[in-house]
Order: sequence, then C-alpha cells, then structure tokens
Amino acid sequence: MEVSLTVNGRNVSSDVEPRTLLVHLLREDLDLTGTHVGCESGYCGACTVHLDGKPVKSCTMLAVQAEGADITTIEGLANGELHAVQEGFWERHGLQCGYCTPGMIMSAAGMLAENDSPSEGEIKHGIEGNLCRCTGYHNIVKAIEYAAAKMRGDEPAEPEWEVSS
Amino acid sequence: MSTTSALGGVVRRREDPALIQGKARYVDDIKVRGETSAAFVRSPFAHAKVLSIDTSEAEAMDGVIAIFTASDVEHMGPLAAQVAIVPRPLLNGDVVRHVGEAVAMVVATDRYVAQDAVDAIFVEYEPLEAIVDLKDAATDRLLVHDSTESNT
Ligand code: FES
Ligand code: FES
Repeated sequence: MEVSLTVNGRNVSSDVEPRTLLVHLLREDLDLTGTHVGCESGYCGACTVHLDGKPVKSCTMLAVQAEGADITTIEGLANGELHAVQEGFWERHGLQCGYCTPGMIMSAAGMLAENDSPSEGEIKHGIEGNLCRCTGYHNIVKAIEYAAAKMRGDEPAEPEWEVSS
Repeated sequence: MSTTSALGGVVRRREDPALIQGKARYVDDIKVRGETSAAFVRSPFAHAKVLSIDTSEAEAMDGVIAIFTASDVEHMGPLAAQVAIVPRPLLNGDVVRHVGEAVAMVVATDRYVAQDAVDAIFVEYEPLEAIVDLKDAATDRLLVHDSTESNT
C-alpha cells in the first residue's frame, strides 16, 4: 500500500504492508533511527513522535494511519539547532544511555507547547508514558523545568549540584 | 555554569549532543546487507512438558529461512550467561520452567515474516504443577529442577 505523509518537513511516500507500524516506516524505510523501539507494545514511550504537533507512540500506530499527517521526529525537532528541551536534557543531566531520551524529549516538547509553566506534578504527569531505565526521573524533571524556563524567556533555576562558595 | 574541568564543576557530557538529537547509533540502528530477523516461540506455561513441536506449516512460509528447536542447538551447550547452578538450554524441548522460556527460533527475511512463522508453529504441552509462591518453593515439595536437591 502506498502511504504519503510529511516527515520533518519533507514529503515522503512509501510502499508499505498495511500492517507496517509507523515506527518501522520511520526507522527502516526512512532511516530515521533516532526514534527508538523499547517495547513495541505501547508501554515505554521510546518511540514517541509528533503527529500534527501532538505526541504519539509510533509503535501503536500503523503507518497507513499516518496518511496525510505531519510527523516530526527527534531528528526534525530543531533542525540542527537545539530545542530548549534538548538543551535542558544536556544541561541538567537528563540522560545516561540515551535510549529513552528521544521519546522523553518529544513528550516533553509536546507538553510544553501546550503549557510552558507546568508544575512539577504536571511534568511528571506529562512524561508518565515514558520509561527510563537508567537516569531516574529526577533529573529528567529538572531538565524539563529548565526548558520551560527557557521557553518562557526566564533564567532557568541554578542546578541543584551548584555549590555556592 | 558548565566548565570543562573535571574537578569542582559540572562537566557537560560529550556524548550527549548525538544522544539528544537522535544521531546516536545503537545496535538496532545498524543495517547489514542481507540482514535477517529472528523471533522466538515461547512457553505460555510456567511449568510444562513439551510433547511435540510442529514446524511444518511455518517452514513452508515464504521468507522463512530456518527454524531451530532444541535438538538443533543441543550441541552448542547451555546459555553462556549462567546465573544459576542449573544449566539452561538455548532452546528447551523437554520441560519448560517459566512463562516465556524459548522452545523454538525462527529466522526469516524480515521481522514481520518471522513473527508470522512463530504464530504458525504449534507446540503441544502437558501442563505441570507450578509453584508461584516463594514460601511454597522453599518447602521443596516440588523441585523446579530435578537435578538439584533443593529449590533454595
Ligand atoms: S516502543 Fe512504543 S511504547 Fe515502547
Ligand atoms: S537514559 Fe537510559 S533509558 Fe533513559
């Protein structure tokens, strides 16, 4: 089956089996391997991308369901620059192995696009569909708080590990 | 503030730019020419005897390259990563001892075909009593492995 969609601003068409998952179209046909597969069953969120601006888990969607849609993956989030969320993860040590990170960043960016002043609880709620096996969620929340501040034009809070002398 | 010194300051990791932009390369991202995919048939029972495995339908499927069961891999010995004193076979054709224990492996041209073939392999089991409780297991009234004297 032919499916046509926009991915990171590019029009793409691909011939897929009707059962092909969106994540496999992205990773295998389009070689966008920044989107990861952790569980293939909707639990881990490693495969999160934006579909028409909203975060979706691309392992729970068929590629053909994305017909005509506008998809953004981690590779296209900031097009070579760093999105505030990406910067936040780097600055606040929001990652270790990085496997969950693209999904975390896409979920967080989706959440901040709707609400740039989330409370800690709202941030946690916003990433509850994303699992990280190494970092622990503390720094991920701090990274998103950093990004939120940046997006509002505020100065991000000092990192907790900064010891004043 | 970030610094480049390893002492007394925060060091931004050099590997992070790739990881946060989806440019990192994990094993699953590596494509090899002529690559094939494997999928496993796994036990739905916590404890059962494997009576028979019928792979004929799966073998006839387009794109299926090979199907392995216990007897095909026995000569390779047990799993290399051992956590217990009891050797665990690569594929079990005898008695499975947990849900998800692998009894057959399919190699196919792509992951979807491999998964289809897994669904077309028919395994007949004789369910055995399972112990699902630690305290119960500690009584040794039923041994998980006959070759051992105790479960503990
Ligand atoms: S791979 Fe999609 S939720 Fe885990
Ligand atoms: S950084 Fe390793 S899984 Fe989250």
